[in-house]
Amino acid sequence: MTFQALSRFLFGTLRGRLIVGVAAVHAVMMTLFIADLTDRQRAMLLDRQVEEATALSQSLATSAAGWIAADDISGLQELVEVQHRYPEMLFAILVDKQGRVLADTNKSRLGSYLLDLPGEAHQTVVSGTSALVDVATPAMIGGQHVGWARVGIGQKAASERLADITRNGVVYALAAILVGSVVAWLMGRGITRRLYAVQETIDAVRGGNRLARSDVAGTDEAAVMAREFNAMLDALAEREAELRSSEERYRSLIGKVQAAIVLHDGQGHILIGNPLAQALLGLSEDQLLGRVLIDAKWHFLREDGSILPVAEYPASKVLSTRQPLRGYVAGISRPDRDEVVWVLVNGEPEYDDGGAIARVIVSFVDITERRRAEEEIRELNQDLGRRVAERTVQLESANKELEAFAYSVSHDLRAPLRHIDGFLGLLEEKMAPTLDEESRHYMTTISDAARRMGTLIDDLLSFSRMGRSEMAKTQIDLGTLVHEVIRECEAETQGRVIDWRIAELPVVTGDRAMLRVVLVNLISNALKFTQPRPRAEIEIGCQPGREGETTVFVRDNGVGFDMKYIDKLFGVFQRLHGVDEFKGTGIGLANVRRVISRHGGRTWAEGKVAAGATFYFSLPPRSVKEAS
Amino acid sequence: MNRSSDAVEILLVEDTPADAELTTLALKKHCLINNLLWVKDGPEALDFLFAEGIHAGRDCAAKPKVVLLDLRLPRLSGIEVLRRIKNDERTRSIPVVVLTSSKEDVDIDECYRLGVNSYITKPVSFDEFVKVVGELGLYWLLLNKGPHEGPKCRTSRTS
Repeated sequence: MTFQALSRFLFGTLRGRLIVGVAAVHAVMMTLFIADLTDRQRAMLLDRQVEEATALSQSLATSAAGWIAADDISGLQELVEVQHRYPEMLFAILVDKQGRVLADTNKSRLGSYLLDLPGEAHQTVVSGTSALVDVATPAMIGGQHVGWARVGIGQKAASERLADITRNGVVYALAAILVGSVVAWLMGRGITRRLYAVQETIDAVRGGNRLARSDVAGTDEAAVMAREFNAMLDALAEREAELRSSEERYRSLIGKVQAAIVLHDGQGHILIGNPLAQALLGLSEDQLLGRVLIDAKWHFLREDGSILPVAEYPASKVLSTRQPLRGYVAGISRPDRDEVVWVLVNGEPEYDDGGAIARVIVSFVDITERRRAEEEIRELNQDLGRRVAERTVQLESANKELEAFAYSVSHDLRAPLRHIDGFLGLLEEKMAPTLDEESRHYMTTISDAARRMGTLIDDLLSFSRMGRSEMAKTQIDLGTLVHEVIRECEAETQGRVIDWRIAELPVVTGDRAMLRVVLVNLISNALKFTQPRPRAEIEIGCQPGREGETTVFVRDNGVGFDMKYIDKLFGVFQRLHGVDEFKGTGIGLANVRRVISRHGGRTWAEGKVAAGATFYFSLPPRSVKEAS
Repeated sequence: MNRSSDAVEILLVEDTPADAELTTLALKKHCLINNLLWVKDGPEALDFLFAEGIHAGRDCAAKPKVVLLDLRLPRLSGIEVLRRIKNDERTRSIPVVVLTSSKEDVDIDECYRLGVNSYITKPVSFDEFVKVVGELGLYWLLLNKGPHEGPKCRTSRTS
């Protein structure tokens, strides 16, 4: 625990880590530096010691060579004693060639033999440690080896200096560590104070202050971090604002939409029910959430009024079929209401990434009013149908009466005419010898009038038949029909010069007999009114009309007509010419108009006095087929 | 106009006296007026043909050579009279020529269905009427040898 506490104290904060780090670096560096320094110092001192020992032994050997040869022991001893003035001198020994000690700073060894002398007569460092540098130098006289000079030098003073150096090094190292740590602490404090500023902002934001921002000036990492952090906070704030506004939008949508919306999870439990859903289903939000079933008294009804089993509830249906449910009509029977609320239900599944149904959105639209209105419309329609049927019966009876009338006209009106003409003929026969010219003229006029009236009656009947008779619609090639009609007219066109210009005509759907009447009337009119022309030009063609209609026209270069009488042209028994000019009762164009209007088409004409006329009829698109 | 019923060659069924007179005159112009019996309505025509009612006791086997039948008749329509004639073994072979006022007549199809032998649309023009009646009368009275060997010909005449 203590170790952990210490460890946390030292390494728990950036500041601690920085200080420990800097101190450790200083310690290591200083230790290495001092160790190296003392090592070098020691080596240097040893080198100097060896040099001194070598020089001393050299000088002693040179000085002593003659003395040795002379075997002047006391002189040698003196020589050795002189060497004592050298402070670090441990010993100075002179020996003869055999190793017998001739003189020595330590007189106790006089007369004894040195056994560790080098084999060859060369200067040799016998021992080279800092405690003792022992150098043996051969004493030579004229190239003759006569003995050895041996000098041993210690290192006491140098060792003391070295110890001083080491001690000072340690002190400096500790000072460096201390100073380094202090500087590190100061720096660390500077850095971490800025970090702590960011930290405080974080704490403030966490504490709920969304507007807190860290104020760290400068360009260093902490400042950059603070700015980044502020930017992050701004972005977050923006995102949160967006989220909040999206949430508000969603809430207002769900809350205000004029449809009841219920969101189910993949098991059918209700997640959300908007206010309209609560109102429609008569349940509070608490009653809705998490439920699959509502309560035993609450039912969905089928359109026939039977209770819908839970397995067939809209959400259940979407879950079981995995298909959207569209336009399903159900009733809602609530325990708190007598009347059933009728709704139009749509259910939409939403799949998760694995393809399983994650949610089901069921929406309900109250159509109770609409159903009521539809019911009323249905009743009205039935009523209307009944009235139409009644009216149809009335119309049928009126039609029957009309037929009876036509029948009666055809028989009863003609009979008297027949009688007039018949008995007039008999009278004429009987009185022929006595009749003068004038009387004969009267009789002819009476007879003509009766016959004309007969024709008028026939025409009136044919006009009536055009309006009454049932149409038998078939495919009719107008081109073929036109040529047929023209062939029939050949009898009346004999001897005349007629320039027929007949374009390709379409195949239409219509009553053949009736359309034939149209063409007969238009063509015979064209022939009739071109009679005064030496060369009649009759053009029959087809042109596209408005809205896909097909328009057929018959154009002639005949006597034409004045456009101010256009209104009379298609009227029953309306004539623009005298009977003695052109024959006819004036029923033809009335029949044309009636037939075409029964086919759903239109009729019109263009003309100019003495400059020809063009008669048009159009047939609606469905009655026209492409001309093959 | 009633003559010896045994020798009747033409039976004219016509309610309008004027028409009956014109028809008679038209036939007369072609000298075809022999033994014409004019009855005014359907029941009487049937009584004559089946020797019933006022004609009871007449020899039913003595058939007219042709029946000229107007369709517009009081009491029993011409169609009904035609049906009775053509539905009865005894009278089926008698040629019946229907006289009608208008070619518009919806009953013409029915007449053909029932087996009428001819029909005449009575034209307004008397001259034409005389011509048509003459042609038809000639055919049925003179060229037609008898009911059994007579050709079943349908001739349509119009104004």
